[in-house]
Amino acid sequence: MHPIYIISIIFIIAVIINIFIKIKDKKLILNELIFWILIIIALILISVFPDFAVKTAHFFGFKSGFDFFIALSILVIFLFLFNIYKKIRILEEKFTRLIENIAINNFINSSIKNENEINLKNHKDENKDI
Amino acid sequence: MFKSDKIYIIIPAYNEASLIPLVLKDLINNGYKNIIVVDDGSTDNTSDIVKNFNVDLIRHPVNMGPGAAIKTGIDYALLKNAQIMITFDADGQHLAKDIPNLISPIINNQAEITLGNRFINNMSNVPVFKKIILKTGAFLMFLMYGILSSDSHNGLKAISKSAALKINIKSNGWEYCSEIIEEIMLKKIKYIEVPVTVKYSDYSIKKGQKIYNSFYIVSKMFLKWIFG
Repeated sequence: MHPIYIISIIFIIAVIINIFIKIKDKKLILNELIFWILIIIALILISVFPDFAVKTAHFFGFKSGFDFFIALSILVIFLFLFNIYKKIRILEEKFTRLIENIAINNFINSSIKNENEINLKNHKDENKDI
Repeated sequence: MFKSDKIYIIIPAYNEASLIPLVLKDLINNGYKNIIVVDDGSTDNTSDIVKNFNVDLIRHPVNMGPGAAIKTGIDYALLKNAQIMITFDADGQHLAKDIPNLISPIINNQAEITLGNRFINNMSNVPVFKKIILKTGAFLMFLMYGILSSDSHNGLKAISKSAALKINIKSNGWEYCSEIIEEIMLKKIKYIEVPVTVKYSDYSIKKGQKIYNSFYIVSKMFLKWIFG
């Protein structure tokens, strides 16, 4: 058996254990589950039908299965990067708005407090005069 | 009829304790009453110094960047029903005497935004390396957004209320200047470039945008341009 198939089998077992642990802890969301199931299917196809990767690579115009694997990995990583970039931007915007609101509200509240203190002081001074 | 009490000066400040008193004195001596200082999470005593002046001091609990500080200042000024907002640097580079020229096109309904430009009339003694960076940045702005402004990263700008309500600043860092140019182009906001003086000192050069920072700004704008 080729070493890559042994690695694939170990990886499949690790992924399945990971999925079970997450299901048990109720931490797995549907999108994540679908993603890992697709990975497992792809790895099983490669392991059980070794020619499958080569034929798929040839179908897409790659010379070897390895080239196809690398190109596909770069594409998947790029999609992940895009997704993470979007999420970070949204979070950064929300965080900025939060800081801005806190800063403005703090200033307005402190201004009102100062104004009240001045009014109270003036009121006390007036009472003293009377 | 335009009321001068509706003009608000917005000063984003981060660790500017040494020069901000001079900036505030210059503005107050020139008759500007509505001054908003946004202390962007300074770790020095900027806030303590600003408290000695009759200005509105808004403090970010953490350092967010000049773009976020400008956005906070604009939003607060809009709450106060400002008609014109002037963004003004805290490092002593800008002069209060330039403000009347800057706001005049807005008062006369010739523009909704005026952008200070240090290269018109060449009144500023701009260091060569700074000139190269700014001109390269301006060229990139032209390629990306189609607006040819030779000084897109000048912090001195006047923004009318109508323009402030249209512009949506999302960037926290220095790239907010490029974002304003982008918003002007996308939302077809009327703008005019006005000659201003930018004073260069060892302090302002040390505090200002660095060469590596300009690469960072370009990369961030490029990412935003691609990913939205």
